Amino acid sequence: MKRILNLCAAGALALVALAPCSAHAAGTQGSAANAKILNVVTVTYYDATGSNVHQAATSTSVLVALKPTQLTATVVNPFPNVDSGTTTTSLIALTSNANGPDTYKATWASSTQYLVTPTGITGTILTDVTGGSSTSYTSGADLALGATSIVSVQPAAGGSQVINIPAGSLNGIVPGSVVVINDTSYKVTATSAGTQAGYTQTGVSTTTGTATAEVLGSITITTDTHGSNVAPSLAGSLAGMIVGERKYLQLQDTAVVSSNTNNGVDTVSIVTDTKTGGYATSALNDTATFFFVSVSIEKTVANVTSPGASGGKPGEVLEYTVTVRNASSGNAGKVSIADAVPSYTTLVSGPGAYGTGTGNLTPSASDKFAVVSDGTNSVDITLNPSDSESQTVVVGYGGTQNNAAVAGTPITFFLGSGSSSTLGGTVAASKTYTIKYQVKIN
Amino acid sequence: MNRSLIGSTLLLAALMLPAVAFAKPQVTIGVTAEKEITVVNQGKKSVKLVPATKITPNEVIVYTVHYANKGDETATNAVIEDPIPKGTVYLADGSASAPEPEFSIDHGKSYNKATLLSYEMKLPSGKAERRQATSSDYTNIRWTIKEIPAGSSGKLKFRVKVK
Repeated sequence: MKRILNLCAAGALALVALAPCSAHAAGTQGSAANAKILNVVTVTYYDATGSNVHQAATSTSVLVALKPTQLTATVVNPFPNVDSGTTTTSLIALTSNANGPDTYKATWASSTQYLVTPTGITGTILTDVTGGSSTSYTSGADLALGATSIVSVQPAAGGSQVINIPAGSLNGIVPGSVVVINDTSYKVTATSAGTQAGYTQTGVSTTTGTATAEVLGSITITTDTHGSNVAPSLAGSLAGMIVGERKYLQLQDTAVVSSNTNNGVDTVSIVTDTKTGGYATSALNDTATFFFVSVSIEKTVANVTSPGASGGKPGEVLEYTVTVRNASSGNAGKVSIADAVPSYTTLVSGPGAYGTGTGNLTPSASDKFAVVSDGTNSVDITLNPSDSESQTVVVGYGGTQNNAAVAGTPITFFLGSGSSSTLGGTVAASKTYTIKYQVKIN
Repeated sequence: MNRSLIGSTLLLAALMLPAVAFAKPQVTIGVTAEKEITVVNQGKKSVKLVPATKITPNEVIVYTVHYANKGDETATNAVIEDPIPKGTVYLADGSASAPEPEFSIDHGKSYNKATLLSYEMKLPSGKAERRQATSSDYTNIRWTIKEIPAGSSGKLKFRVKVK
């Protein structure tokens, strides 16, 4: 106070206002689009006598325009590696950095290796990772994203926080939207548009008008459990900070591998831009890998009656072993094996477990003739091809044509998990299945 | 018919207020918002002002206040006051029109010349420090015009930047 008095004495009256430091440290990114800049100017004057005072006032208003800005595109979940012929799904977050609502576009292109082309990519826009709305999206189509900017923030309470924005600047943000503030995502639970400031006099005026004070708009945010998963606790001078809407682009890629020695690769390159152009993002690569499938089959024979013998005599029993090996990283589907009873032999079958039967030309349909093993579990297979083999873990099915056992009879096996008496199942990557059956030399 | 009626009313009024007669100042006020655009014509760049209805952050609005005395008596001690619009920052680039404006940093409670404006700031230690106000601190601008003679007019300009 002493200093002020001194200044007064010196004849230089300094104006004093106490201001908190923070009021002078606002790092602003810009006012929200559609915020109203209202200028009210008032003239106060006297007549020549200096005793009668008069006033006139007028106003002019300007709306803040959209400042187009690049989106931020980030791969949230890249394509997981999948089997040839199946579909893999990736998720890309698209976040607005503008001060207002704009229409954008996302385009993608494939670059493929070892794939049967064309590959099929379908897009979907999600308003949230789960629980939001989803809309089918084609490459280059219109994509609307809202955005606004902060005026001030209210204290956070009970896991949510109210953000004040300029009146009339909700700009497409609605309850359920995901918004990003300073790189952290939040979920919007409520919004309010507010009331824009106004003044009744415009143009050339000779009188004063009536002012309407601005009632700020607001956005209530809470934790985005599928995103940043952080409870809002914004504080400090955040005026001008962008509140940008985020939507998710889901891409589903389906492709068939053309190689049995190399995995198929689809490198999907994604670029975003504003609809009108000029704000393209650099290409984002999201690679989908489809496993090639390679299943080997081997058939060996051994003389059961005379172990070690290189051949066999009539009446002796031979055992055939068919080994089906999936040495690749992909799962083989619908695996079936076609075989036949060798010439000059009769299939060995019987009512007991595998290996206890005899070579009988007229066996019963329910007689067991083969065993299928997946390395852990095994099942005895009956001659009847259409019956349900007794097994708790599905290993395989099989049978012979017309339940016959004579030479030349076709034998069929359906292998793998999910197989049935009519269809092959899945022989998973690195799994080996063995089939054994015996024949008696006629 | 109408004319004679007005005539008689005037006469009556004149009889009631003989000292003042009917002389009276009437100041009209108007304000326009414009933005500067750079026009390139035959390789030469020039800045042109166009009406601003929409403006992008960081762009400059040029406000022009028009005043005119349409009355038949001089207006005296006219004060034209204009709060710096919300969402904008005053630009101290010497563009404000004469007469020299005064500024407020406390929403119009007090005004002073730009060079004499200062404020006290509370430091974290609790001590107060005096600082020179900068143009971004200004909350209001005003001009004082001693006399606006009847029939005369003028304009005042200032520039703000959109936050």
